[in-house]
Amino acid sequence: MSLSRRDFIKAAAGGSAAALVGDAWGATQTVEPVTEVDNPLKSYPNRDWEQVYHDIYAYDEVDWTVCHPNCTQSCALNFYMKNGVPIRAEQIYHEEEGSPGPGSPGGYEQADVSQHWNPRGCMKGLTLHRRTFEPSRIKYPMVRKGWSPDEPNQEGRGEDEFERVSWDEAIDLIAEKMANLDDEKRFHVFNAIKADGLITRHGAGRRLASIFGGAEWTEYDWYADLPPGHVITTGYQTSDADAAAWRAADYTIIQGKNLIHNKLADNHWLQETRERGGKMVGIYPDYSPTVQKCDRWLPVRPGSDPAVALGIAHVIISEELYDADFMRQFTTLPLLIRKDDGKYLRAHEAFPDHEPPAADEETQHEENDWGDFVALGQDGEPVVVTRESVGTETPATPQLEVDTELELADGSSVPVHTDFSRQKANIVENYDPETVEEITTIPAGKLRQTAREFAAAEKGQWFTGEGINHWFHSNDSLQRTIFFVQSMLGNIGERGAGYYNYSGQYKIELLDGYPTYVNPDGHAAHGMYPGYAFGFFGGETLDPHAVRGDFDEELDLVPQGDADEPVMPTNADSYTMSRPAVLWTMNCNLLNQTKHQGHVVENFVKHPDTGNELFVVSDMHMTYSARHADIVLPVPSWLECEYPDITVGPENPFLQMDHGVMDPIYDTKQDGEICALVAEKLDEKVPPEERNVDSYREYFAEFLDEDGDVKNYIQETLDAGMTTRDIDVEDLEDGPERLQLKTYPRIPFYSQIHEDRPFYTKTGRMEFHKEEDRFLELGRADLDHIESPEGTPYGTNQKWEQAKDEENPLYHDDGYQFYYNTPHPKYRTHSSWGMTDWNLIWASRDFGSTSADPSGTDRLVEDFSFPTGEGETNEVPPLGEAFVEMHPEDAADIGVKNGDYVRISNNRGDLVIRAMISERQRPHSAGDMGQLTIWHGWWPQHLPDDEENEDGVKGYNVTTNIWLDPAQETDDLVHKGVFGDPNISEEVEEEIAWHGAELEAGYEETVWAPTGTNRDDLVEVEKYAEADWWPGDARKDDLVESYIDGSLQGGAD
Amino acid sequence: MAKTYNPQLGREHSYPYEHREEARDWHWGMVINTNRCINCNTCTFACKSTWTSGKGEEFMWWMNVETEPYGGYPMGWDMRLLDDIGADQTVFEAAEDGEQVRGYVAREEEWEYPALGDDQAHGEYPTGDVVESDPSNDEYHDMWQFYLPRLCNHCKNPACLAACPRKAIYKREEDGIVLLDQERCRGYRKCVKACPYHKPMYNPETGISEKPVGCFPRIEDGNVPRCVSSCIGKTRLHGNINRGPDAGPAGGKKSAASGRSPINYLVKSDEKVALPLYPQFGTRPQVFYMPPYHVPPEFLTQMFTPNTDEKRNDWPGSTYEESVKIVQQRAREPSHHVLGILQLFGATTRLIETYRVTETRVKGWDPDGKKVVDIPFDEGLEVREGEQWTNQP
Repeated sequence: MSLSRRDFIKAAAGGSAAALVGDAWGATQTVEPVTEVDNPLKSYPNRDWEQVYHDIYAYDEVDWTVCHPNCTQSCALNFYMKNGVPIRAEQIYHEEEGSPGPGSPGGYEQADVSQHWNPRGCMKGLTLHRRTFEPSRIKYPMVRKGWSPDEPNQEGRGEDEFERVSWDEAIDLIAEKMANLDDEKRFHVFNAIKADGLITRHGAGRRLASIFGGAEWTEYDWYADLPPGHVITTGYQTSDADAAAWRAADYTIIQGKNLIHNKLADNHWLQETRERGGKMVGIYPDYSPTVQKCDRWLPVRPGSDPAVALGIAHVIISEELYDADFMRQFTTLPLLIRKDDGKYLRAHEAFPDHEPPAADEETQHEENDWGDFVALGQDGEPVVVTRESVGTETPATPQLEVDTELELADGSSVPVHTDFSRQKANIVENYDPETVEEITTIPAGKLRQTAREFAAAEKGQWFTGEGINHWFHSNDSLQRTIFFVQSMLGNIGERGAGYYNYSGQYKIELLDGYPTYVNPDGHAAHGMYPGYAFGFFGGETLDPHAVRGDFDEELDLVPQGDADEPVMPTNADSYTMSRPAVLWTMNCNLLNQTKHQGHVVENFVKHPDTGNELFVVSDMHMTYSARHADIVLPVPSWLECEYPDITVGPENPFLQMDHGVMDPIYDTKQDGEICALVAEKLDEKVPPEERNVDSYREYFAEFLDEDGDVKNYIQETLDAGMTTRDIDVEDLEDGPERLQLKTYPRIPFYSQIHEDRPFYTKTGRMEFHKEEDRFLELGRADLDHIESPEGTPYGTNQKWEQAKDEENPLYHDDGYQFYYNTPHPKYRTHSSWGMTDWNLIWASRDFGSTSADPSGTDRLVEDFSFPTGEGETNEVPPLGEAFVEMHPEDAADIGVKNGDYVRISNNRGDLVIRAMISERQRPHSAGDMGQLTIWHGWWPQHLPDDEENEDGVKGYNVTTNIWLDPAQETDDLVHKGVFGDPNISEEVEEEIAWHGAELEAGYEETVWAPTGTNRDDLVEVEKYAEADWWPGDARKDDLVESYIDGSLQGGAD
Repeated sequence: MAKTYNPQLGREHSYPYEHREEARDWHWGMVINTNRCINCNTCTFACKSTWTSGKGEEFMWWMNVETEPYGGYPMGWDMRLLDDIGADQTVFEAAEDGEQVRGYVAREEEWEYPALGDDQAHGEYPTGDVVESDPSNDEYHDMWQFYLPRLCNHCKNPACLAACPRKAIYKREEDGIVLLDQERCRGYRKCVKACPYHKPMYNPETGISEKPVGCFPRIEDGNVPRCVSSCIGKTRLHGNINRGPDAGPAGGKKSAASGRSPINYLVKSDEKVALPLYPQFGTRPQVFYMPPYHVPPEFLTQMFTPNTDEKRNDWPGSTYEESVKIVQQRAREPSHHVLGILQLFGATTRLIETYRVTETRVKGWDPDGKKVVDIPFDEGLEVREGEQWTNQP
């Protein structure tokens, strides 16, 4: 800060002298003061200098947009600009004067909605502008040098350099490839079915795939966001409430969900429950950061979570703390089940004149008629229960506990019991709190106390998250049992009571007019589960039995789709198996985040046998995925976008529209425009008679025509939805609008509980026993705890009775006695913001340094433009690096100190990474698997080179598995589709996109599909190298012990 | 050497300058509820992106959140000073000859890892056991961590001001904000050495020290500081700490409430729920913390009370540890009135001067007497009538 000579003189006359510039940390200069200051505590003579800070704060303009990555929160932010460059962002308080605020019919006023949804926008939104300018941005379209349309040379992916091409060239290459496909289904788009780029961004990719006749890959199921237990029990994708409902709870159980890190804008709603008399109990293997907000932490053996819920169920059942009326009205608990074959008894079997449904299951699914059911009235006589007779329509007062022989219409008799009797018998016998203590390591007394308190609470809510979803059996078993507990306690369909999952940006459902855009004129892409492509096409394929946990190879497999080998279970015909000749990902760092990373990259991406001839990546940043692409397409950030887009989220009822606030800094194009240009080229290349639609271009005309306006697509979508039909696009230009739902706050199943509408199952009720053949076959028809297929020291894939006396050879013989979890970091959204400077410093915790090693930073910059860059460990990290948290005991066992490097390995791969000593991890000595924590989303540049394996794939997902749960691969599971409520689909106008929607069965992307269960893996960990540097460690400080016990000041006590 | 009475300590001690005769009508102050803090560091980034993203400021985080007990920015800042001063000594009384304040200059390396100790917990893994807290039953987490957001406290006995040999640091008359004159500073770094909280920082590019400015350009516009308005955990409330029960209606407007500001109530009423950070240093910090109620009071007594055997101030309880426990319980189970004030946290960017809590609503008025908050304790449940509505669209 130096003054010009003129200023100096002016200042000198005015009474203060200029500062002279020093350098480094040592130099200062002194000049005699000119001004007298008497008592600066009381007053100060010259405050003109304060203008400096006014100038720093000043801005030329302010404009707002919405930050909406895959954290699912969707937050409007004001960006302040100087010279057209955003210099900072600030949160918006929508009700305040001058702020973009809600208009009608939405808005906050109608439910006296408090000023509580704001502020929104976390530290990531506040560095969105830094992210926009960071070196990892892709600046122009590029084609991999080794690739050509006829010779894809897949082996070069990830290694070849790129060369710049024009947009026209890039578009032409893509369209040409698509036009030459012999089977359109081989065009695959993975645009992450997320609610954050719905129309003018990657949503356009879905539209393109639909009209082309291609396939679309999903994200919600692949990344283990989908909680199948929700669908199995209720037929509904995921039961979640608006966050505003959370604080009404009296008691919260939160299991395997680090909510304070991943729901930043809305987490206060949960914390507020404790200010209002609520209590919170956390169930985690480690002292998760959320545990500090819990009144009680039950430390649990990972993978044993279903037993916890079963133990709680045991207490509720045996102490009769349940609400029998609720159970009768809304669940299958009073329905009779045949003990001989495990099927629900049908009315036509019990009553002679009762009309049966169609004989074969397929027709039953088509007609949505699976027959009617039977219960016993108080008088012991059977009554018919149809799927419509739920709630107060439940006939008579059916008995909850029945175990008897029943005479059938044909004169024969069959032993029957109710679903409740069935579950009760199993739970009472096998899941008393003492046994549960053996399974889970949670003290029986505390489990009991928790169960009693939860039952006594008026409103109890239960959260699970991806910590649970990522375990093979917890994934459905725990979820089903939680619904069971909540049903026993009447904790469904009320504000402050329910069972929620909130993993993933899936609430496209709330924009229910969306099919109009992505399935125009009824065209729809084939849904395809990525695990199938990665597992079964390519170089070495995965063992289809092993990945299903079917080590005994009992499952019947058949070839299907493009697979020549038997890879699919029978009765899973609705599951697409299509070989992706063209794979295009948008807004998705597929290869960084995929499970079984080494296999996917070596055997699928880089292998010619895959038949994947063109891999296109559209992204903002030169990610690991982009480095492996054949064609890389740069897109603008939310700050630079040219076309507005809309977004919704799963825990708030608002619809928001973003728009660009600055000019694009690179030669980027928004996904929608790219798709439009491809569509235009397709019309040129594909003769009309061969097209799937009359004109591809027509479907993207608003992007291409002179007078086109993409807002028309948005308006069409809004007009076709019940939640949005009264909203105009113009309204969204002024701020968020409130979606029109049954209730505010949105409470799932409100109508089921209060208006007697059926659930989306065969029975119309929440189902605990499942009669589908696949469930019966696998022994998973009922609520049970089953040990993991890999992540357990005990017998794999077994119930506790057998498992406890067995040993998992992987654990005992091979010595893989650790597992790692990958919780969602707060400084990144998955891998987004992975290279943004401030975020990287903080995400790297103890190893995040503001003293960036300049040559390290250069290395990072080089890496992005030319993937030939080597990754070398420097003396000082460039801003930050990845680390794995390890318990001090486990580290000591392998001679590892804080900062040393370790190798984590298993049969699938290994990685080298720096270790951080962390007391909050579950140690190996707790009796089972030692816990390692790697925060999710590191880029390969954050990991050091593995000198013993220089050509290997570098990533934190190399040890994880692509598990496929055969229980989720059946054509028989009844559910509702993503969009539409079959209960009222005839009531809504024909213009509504889901008018006439019916219940479905079988595969449905993001609703009923195999889910990822990535963390159910065992690894071993060993020392790799000593630390080359490390920061301070407070634990090593002599003072820390007395600091912690409060005796540091004043010397030794 | 002047003497000053320090109400946080309940006694007098020395301070190099004389205080004003009368307290300011308006004084910058803040309450932070650690129980709601999630360590997202949005406040940290808000401050840095507004004020310290220039050259030489790379290491500067005027606002930072550190995880206790292992975090610290700069490293170990509080441990060193606690070890250095006596049981009942302010930094002024402990000053060495020729100095006004006892302190130290942190080394470059100690500033470089702002996220050190982030999210680390302390304790033995509870194998075969559980971890619980219930302040009303004297139970606290055996294994614990909590988040401590830290910023310049705009102290009433500023150590930085006391230490500057050029008197280049002053306290504003109208609002008590402590500023470091960027034109008068010569980079002696006495302030950097003196501040026990280490918030004045030296800029090696310019050769001048800088300190947090209390967001005064925003305050002058009637808005709360960035760290407060950006807090998505709704952990903070800012306003006029000096406004007591006898003050008239905000802005002189009859329609506005009179009396205490909401933060004054939380800090100075007989329902006190917020405590200053390390009051024993003697600087009279004006940022107050609702302490984490799951953390053992032994640790918190050293951090949030004068930490002497004899209790001299007017806080509840007969020992300082008791004060902590009482305040923890009040935070765990707030009264209706305190819960009402908690609704004001994060409700507006405007400064809230006065407030009113009724049975069902909470209102707030800005210093001009304009109503800026009017919210219900509980939102209504809105149910749409009609067959065509659903929560599963």
